[in-house]
Amino acid sequence: MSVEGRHEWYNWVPGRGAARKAETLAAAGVAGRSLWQDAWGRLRRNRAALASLWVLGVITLAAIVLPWVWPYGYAQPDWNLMYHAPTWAGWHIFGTDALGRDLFVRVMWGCRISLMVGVVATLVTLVIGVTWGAVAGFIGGWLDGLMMRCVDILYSIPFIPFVIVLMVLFGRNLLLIFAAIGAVSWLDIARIVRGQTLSLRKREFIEAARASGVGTATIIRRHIVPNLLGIVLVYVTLTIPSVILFEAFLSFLGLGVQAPLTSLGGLVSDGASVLQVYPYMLVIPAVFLAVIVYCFNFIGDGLRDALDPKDR
Amino acid sequence: MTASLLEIRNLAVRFTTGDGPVYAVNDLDLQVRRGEVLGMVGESGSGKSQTWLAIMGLLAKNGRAEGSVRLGGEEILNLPQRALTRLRGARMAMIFQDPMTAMNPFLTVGRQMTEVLEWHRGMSRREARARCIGALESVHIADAAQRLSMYPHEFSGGMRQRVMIATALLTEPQLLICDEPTTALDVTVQAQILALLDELRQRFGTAIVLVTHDLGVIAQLADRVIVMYAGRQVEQAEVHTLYGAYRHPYTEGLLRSVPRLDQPRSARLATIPGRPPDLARRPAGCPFEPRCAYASELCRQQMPPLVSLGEAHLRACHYDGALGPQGREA
Amino acid sequence: MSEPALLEVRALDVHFPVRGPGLLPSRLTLRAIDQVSFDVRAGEVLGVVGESGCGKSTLSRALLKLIPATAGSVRLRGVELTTLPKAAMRPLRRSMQMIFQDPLASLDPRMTVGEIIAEPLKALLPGMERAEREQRVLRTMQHVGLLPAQINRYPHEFSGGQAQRIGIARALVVQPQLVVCDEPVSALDVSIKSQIINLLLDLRAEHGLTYIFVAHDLATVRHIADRVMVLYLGRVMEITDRDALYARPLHPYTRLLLSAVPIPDPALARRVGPTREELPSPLALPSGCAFRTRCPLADARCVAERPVLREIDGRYVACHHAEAAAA
Repeated sequence: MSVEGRHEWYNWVPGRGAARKAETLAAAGVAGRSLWQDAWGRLRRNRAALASLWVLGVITLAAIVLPWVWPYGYAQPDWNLMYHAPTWAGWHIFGTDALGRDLFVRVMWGCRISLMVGVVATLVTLVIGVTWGAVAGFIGGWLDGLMMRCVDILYSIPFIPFVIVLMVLFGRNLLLIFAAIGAVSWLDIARIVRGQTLSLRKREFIEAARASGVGTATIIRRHIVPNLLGIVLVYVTLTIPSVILFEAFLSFLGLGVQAPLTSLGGLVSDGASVLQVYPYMLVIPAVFLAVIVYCFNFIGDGLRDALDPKDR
Repeated sequence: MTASLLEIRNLAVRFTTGDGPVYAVNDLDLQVRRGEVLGMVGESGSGKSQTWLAIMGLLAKNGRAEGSVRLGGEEILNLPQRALTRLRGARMAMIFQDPMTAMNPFLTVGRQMTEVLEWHRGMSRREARARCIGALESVHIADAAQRLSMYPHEFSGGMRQRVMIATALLTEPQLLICDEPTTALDVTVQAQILALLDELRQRFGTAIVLVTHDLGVIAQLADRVIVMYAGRQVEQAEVHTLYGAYRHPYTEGLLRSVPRLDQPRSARLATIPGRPPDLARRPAGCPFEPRCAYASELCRQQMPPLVSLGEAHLRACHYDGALGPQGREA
Repeated sequence: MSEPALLEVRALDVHFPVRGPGLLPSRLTLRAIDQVSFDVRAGEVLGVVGESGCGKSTLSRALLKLIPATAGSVRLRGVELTTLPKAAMRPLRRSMQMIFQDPLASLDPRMTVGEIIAEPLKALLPGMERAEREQRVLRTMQHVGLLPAQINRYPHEFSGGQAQRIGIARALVVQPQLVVCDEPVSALDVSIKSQIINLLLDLRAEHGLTYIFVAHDLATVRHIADRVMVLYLGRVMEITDRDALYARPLHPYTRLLLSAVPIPDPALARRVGPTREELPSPLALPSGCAFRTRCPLADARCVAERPVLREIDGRYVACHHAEAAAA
């Protein structure tokens, strides 16, 4: 830092020796390691979480790709082969069901639907919940009171009868399932986010932003939400499996996806009814369901550990 | 005063973290004598707190301690949990910077204090209560009997620290470790707590280890001082020697960079340039070398050993010339 | 004081409503700042000292309108701030900025150093072009002793002292006149503390800055401040030029504070007398003088009558017995 340079701090012109050097250094970019990169590094060292990520990736990819290339469709019956145990003959590697439909392709479709319900419903949850919670928590006062009382009222609605009534009234439709599950599970996340926001709001860097003249909306967007993402992400990975299980439960009650389309829950339900005669009908989709749920839970736990600053 | 109560040999404390090992304390040798006040001074990352947490068996779960620590001739490092718990209450006790975190907010102060006596001494509740009132009075808490039925949050910071000291002294330990006992307190309260520790030491003959970053606090109370840097002992001396005739550049830097009320105000404060050390790295040479004004090539290559300068004065430094302004110019 | 002050604070009150204990809580008022008046002249450093709970943090936040004032007036170059609407306050924030106590807590952990320092520019000078903003950030970084190469790093990669430099850069990047420093070195190590104090002194000399420097450490304040204001339980006890204050403190509270500072020299180690009464509850302040419960000079008048801040030999003291100390 030259003495000459020091006095011209406010009127700095690029091109001076020291300054130019500064610029090239910055351009060369000693990139910092963000908290996210740190967390990713820790997550990668967590074997259970990493293995879960792989398994989930493979299942997801298979669920997306395989139904396209498989010789059978999910609703395509083979009248010669009903309730056939897994066999290499005709590529019925998971066997067939009561109508002679290929169980493998149905399981892949089931994974597709279950994952989609899990992810989409959780996204709905996330958008509503995070916005609601962050606004209530940051602005506070009477608005906070009003918004959280709304949440309390919605909480008091018995959920399962509500969904059943919806299904009966509007028919069984995938969009409705997303909406129904999303509409209820955002309540939890709104509460969590509000709590976190309340504690974030008292942090000094928020005060520093206000002292710098940053407006409320910008503070929420730039400071509150990014700092909430960690906990939200953990919550999301733990919500997805619970949504999947809930959908399975609805299917079990016969309120799931409209046949012939199916989900893992629907397949388990079908299998359960013939458990004593054709156990593979239950075991195969149940294993997939369990593996998917386990994987999400492991990833969620891994993320929680990875994002926990106490570990540092 | 010559008998040593606690003897530490080759103590090393290491933490395993996601980014590799962190060497918090290295090759530490020291003794605490009966009835003395040993001051340990250092900045954050100097290993001053971790040393005593390791001895108390209170390291974080990713920390490991190696070496030998003998209390009254008996090895106590890495004892099994049961033996350690017994030892912690009875023969040595530790108080911390923030007394609130060391107390259970849901129990009255009296309950927390009597528990110690019931557990360690097998006293009845009534006996224990009487003892606790006595202990609170000895740390100058008025209305001790009423105070016993109050909860920690009803006490001020200074009062809480008094309660912690009283609790620590209930079992008459031979060694009281105070980790930054006054850092969270106001200066006026700090002065009272220091006076209290001094009084207790004289009354009960308890040896006190005073761990702090504040050279002013050490000067009020300590008989001997150890200066720590980057997990190493860099200088050890009797208190008057250390403040008057220090022989390590880091000690000099610390003493000179403290703003003082007893000296004329200077235009600029002296500083130690550079940054605190990175404990994940273990340089071949002296850890203070990058910030040292007297450093030579030798310092970069070779760790200076801790050598005696006579009269219980030890230091770890290669530099032989004079310290102070003259030394810097030389 | 013929020259108009940069900042004029008159009879400032900041009160917080507090719920009392018990099943039927009574509404109590915590008088965090109680009738505080002072001036800050352009170019000077006003030190503000006191024990925890004396209201020094509340005061610094109230000056910047981060906490609303209950009553009284704060004028920056004659403009009244307490009644100013939010939108009109924004341009004035360019003139007054703040440095916080905990360097890491005051930096958003998810932002890079460059983003953190650029934030006040984006908020207060929205018209500024991106390239110019970046240059200003780099220049400010250099000025506080940060390497330009560190611009893309994150706060957790810095030590406390380095992080505080980022906080200082963020405050200075909009070229303010007045910087409120709320205990900026209290959380730092001894060897780093002196680096930051020297930096603040250098920046002030180079750019003609005015500081309000809040601290609990009288030795540090002596080093940086031109004048010192002593607060106790939200009230001003004494405002005096530095040298006069440290040579001959007039208020008994100032004397108590000074005598309690430990001196790093065992030969001068002082043994304090028997324990004194601790701070009274801010919810139930003593009648008359707030300090009387701990004051060795307290008499009946101190119980009955609250001492006002008055001038004695060009110094301002709120004590009935100040003449005795001055004599």
